[in-house]
Amino acid sequence: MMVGLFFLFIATQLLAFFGRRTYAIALGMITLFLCLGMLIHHATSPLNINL
Amino acid sequence: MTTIRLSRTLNAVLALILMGILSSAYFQQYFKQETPCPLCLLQRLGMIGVAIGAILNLRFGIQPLHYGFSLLSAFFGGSVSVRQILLHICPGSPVFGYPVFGLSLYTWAFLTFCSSVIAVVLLLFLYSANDKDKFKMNWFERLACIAVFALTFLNFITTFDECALGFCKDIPWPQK
Repeated sequence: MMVGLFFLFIATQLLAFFGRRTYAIALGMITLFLCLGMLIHHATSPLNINL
Repeated sequence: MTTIRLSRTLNAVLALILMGILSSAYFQQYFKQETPCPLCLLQRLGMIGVAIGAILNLRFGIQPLHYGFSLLSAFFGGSVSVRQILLHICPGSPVFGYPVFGLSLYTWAFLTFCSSVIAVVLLLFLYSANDKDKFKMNWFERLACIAVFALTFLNFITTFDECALGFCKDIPWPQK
């Protein structure tokens, strides 16, 4: 799952390099919200409570 | 040096500093054998997000929207590092990882995100809607863009090596 977030940030940069500003920012925002979801998952999962 | 040129240079410097910090995390990972925990990876994502806002400024010109993206990423990364600090704040609870200059890596990450917020706010002070950014990227700005892309790709490879396609496992500390 974490790999996917890095992949989305790579895709964001590729979109920016190819001049697709709106798509790049949209994908970047989606990635950030998914990151937030990952943090919430980590905070609420009893298996991951320690680290 | 015009204000826009100064802003662009400072954006490139911000991205390069963040990539330097990420590179030092790799030093810890491979020379001190300290495998990054899931929260550490989320903090790396936050730093990359701040740097992406800076390279959007370099690629498309200085705009508040790009600074907003950097600020949002910095707040996200800061909240992740605060969570990790709070996990270890109780007396007697072990600190994760080897300290660097007396502070743990997640405390340094928190300071980095706070500094990023201050840096972006100071860069916003330089912004003027009347100035039109018509500069093309110079070699220094290209270097910053390449560094951000290379470090993101490297993180993608090493995270795949550690976690594959599933959730990353918790890292017991001290590592055996």
